Amino acid sequence: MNHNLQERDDVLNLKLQQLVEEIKRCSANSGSATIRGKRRIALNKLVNAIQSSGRLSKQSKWLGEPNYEDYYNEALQLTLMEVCQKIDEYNPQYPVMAWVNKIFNWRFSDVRNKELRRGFTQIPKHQKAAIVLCLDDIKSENLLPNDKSELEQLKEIIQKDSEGFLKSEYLSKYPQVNLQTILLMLLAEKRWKEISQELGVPISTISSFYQRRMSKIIDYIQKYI
Amino acid sequence: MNCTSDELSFVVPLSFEAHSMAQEFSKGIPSEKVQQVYLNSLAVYAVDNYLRCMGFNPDWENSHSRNNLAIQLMNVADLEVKNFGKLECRPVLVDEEKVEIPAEVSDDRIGYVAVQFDSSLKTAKILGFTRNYAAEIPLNQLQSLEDFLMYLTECEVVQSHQTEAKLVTVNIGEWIDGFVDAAWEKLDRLLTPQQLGVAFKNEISVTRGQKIDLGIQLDKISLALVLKVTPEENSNEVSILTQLHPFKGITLPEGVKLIISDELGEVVLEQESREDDNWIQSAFDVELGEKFRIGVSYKENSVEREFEF
Repeated sequence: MNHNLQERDDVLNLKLQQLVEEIKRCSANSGSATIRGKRRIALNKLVNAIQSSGRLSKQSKWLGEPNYEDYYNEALQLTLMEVCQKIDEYNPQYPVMAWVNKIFNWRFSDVRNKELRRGFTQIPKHQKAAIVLCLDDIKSENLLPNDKSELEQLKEIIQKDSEGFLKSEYLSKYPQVNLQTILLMLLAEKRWKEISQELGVPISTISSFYQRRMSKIIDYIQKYI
Repeated sequence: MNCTSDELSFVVPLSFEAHSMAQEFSKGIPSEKVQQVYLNSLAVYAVDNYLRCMGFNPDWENSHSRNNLAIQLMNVADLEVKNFGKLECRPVLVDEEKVEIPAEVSDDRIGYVAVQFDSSLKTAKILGFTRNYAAEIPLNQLQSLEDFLMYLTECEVVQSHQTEAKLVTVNIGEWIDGFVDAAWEKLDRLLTPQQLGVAFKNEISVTRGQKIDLGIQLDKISLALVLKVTPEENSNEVSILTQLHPFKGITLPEGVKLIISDELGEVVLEQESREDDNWIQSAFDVELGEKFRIGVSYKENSVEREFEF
């Protein structure tokens, strides 16, 4: 191996080992919030250092796979979680990155096997497998099925208010402002600012009133869906 | 938060699991709201992942952001953290300079976390947080993740102390026999000599106290809860004098309550501190076999201890 590279790896390993030592020094079960908090900060720093080390395996064996990048990200996420959860088991005899990459290799094949299996058994032929969408995909309407019927059904239930609950819950100072009015305005995609102006009630008053009753609203509407 | 590279952040890679969940929640959502629901879901997913990496115990299952109806009725991205409350996880796109918090999530949150995405949606970067609601917060005014981890850890430790202390019923009959639980200390460790002089002197009674921490950060106060147990002669009763003092301090904040209740939680006696009170107290008798509770509260925070004789 190139001498400089070796030196760079040694410096990296020293930095990572120091973070691991700090994590191990601060027990996760300490009664002191300061010690537990310090452990977490060091753990967060360790994860950052691993991700920016440039020494994470490229998993080049799988470079040709069509979903390579998604496999890579899924496996990396699982790896980082495992590193955090098993950090106390790490044996400092080996370089930190060797340990991390060993876990990473395992998780990569797990993820690949799982997705391949899923592709064979669960996804109907005409439908795409679960895919990682980007922002433009989400904005374009065709990719995600959207069905107006659910919204219409919801509006109907609220309008009907069979038990009169939504009408009976109103702001004490503004009896004309009840949950039914607010819900219908929200479902018509009105913003809080507009709702507040139209009803003549401050945003904070009306939104507090609404959110405190959310669990009740859900229980009530759920009965009719 | 400064935008230097030393600033602590946490990057969660997003792939099949995150996106299939976001797609699941976006089903049946009108197209105008799909982007909101999709990004909210990814933001909560990322914070859930971050908290689990950091050894916390989030409970996404029981959050509104997981409820199909709630996400149609609110712009919500909440994440319940077991025993201490809800965090709101707000998405920010990489070209935006502030995080917006919708009015319908202004209440009942222990904090608001900003989660940044670029247009590929392949990673989520946790940037920082704020404890208090504002309709929008410039990213450079967020508190750091160091503060975030310390804050949540403090919530967790306070919570676990309170749960532990609540579980045990303290047997004050044993105090008289000379066995006092180590959680209850001699008073010279809790009070200054000046406080001791006026508070407790004398006799055959047993007097012990415990430091009580209420609230966290700005609302935090430390108190000394003191119990004097005096056996009554020729009787199956003990008289209890309980006092609440500032921990190694001079005056209590106004509005601290000392609440004595019975086994069923029915309030029997209640005292509240006024301005400049050095202590507040309650005295009562307890029969053999009887249970009682002493509660201490200040603002929204309270703790309770259970006793039996």
